[in-house]
Amino acid sequence: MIVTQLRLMGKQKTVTGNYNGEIYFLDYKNVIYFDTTDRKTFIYTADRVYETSLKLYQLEDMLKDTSFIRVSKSMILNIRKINSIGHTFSGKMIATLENGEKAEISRNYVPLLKEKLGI
Amino acid sequence: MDWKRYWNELLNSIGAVSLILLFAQLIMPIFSDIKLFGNFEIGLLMVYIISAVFIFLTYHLFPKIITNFHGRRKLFYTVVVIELTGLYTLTDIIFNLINLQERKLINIFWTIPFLLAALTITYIIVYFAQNAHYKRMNKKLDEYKQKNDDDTIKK
Repeated sequence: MIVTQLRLMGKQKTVTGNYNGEIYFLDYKNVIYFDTTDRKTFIYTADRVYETSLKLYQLEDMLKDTSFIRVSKSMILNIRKINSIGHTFSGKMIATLENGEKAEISRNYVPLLKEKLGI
Repeated sequence: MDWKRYWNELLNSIGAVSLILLFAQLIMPIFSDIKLFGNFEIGLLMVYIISAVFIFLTYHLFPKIITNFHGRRKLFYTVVVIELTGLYTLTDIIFNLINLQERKLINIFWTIPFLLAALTITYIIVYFAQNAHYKRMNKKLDEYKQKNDDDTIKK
């Protein structure tokens, strides 16, 4: 069974993720986003995708004082890994991430982002 | 003060007044053409009253249709309606100025090009407003990243 947990190591927060059967301690600062697909939670860094047994709501609660915010039902995003924020033709908010991926920010979570940015 | 509520009410009111004017403009030529009320002024008054009743009933019989539009969407449709009214009025004035007798040209069939024009104008306004909004947001994002470059957990 995949063992994953979120630990407080001194002042630094790390998240453990499974990659090819091995468990890695990841500095949360290197995480671009957390995503849920088919009831599984994944940790996306610049070079790898790790799996974790933690649920998104648990991660959201643990990371509430950091630069991570919930941007949709299935994603928690690291604001510091956003390159730019733009919009689509239909007016949806899109964040372009450091790894080139684009993440949609749901309308319901836009006030959260604005509050975090101080708008 | 509940600004959100007042803003919503204001949009409702502006939207309602604009709709009344728009419907009046739309059906006025039809009424004046068939001389339903004989006198043009009385006809005009009747058209406005009928439009007002129609809008009142729409607002009260189908509240879900209206209340489903919130914030920006409501603002968007209100602006479209105001622009449509403006376009009708402008065309009417121009037709009067050039003494065009065929004023019945301003009828319901003009709705499609007018609607397209109003939607285009509104979309251009919204596009530029959104660009300015996202420019500000990206500036704030850069500020946030600089400020929180070395953030540690406060717990």
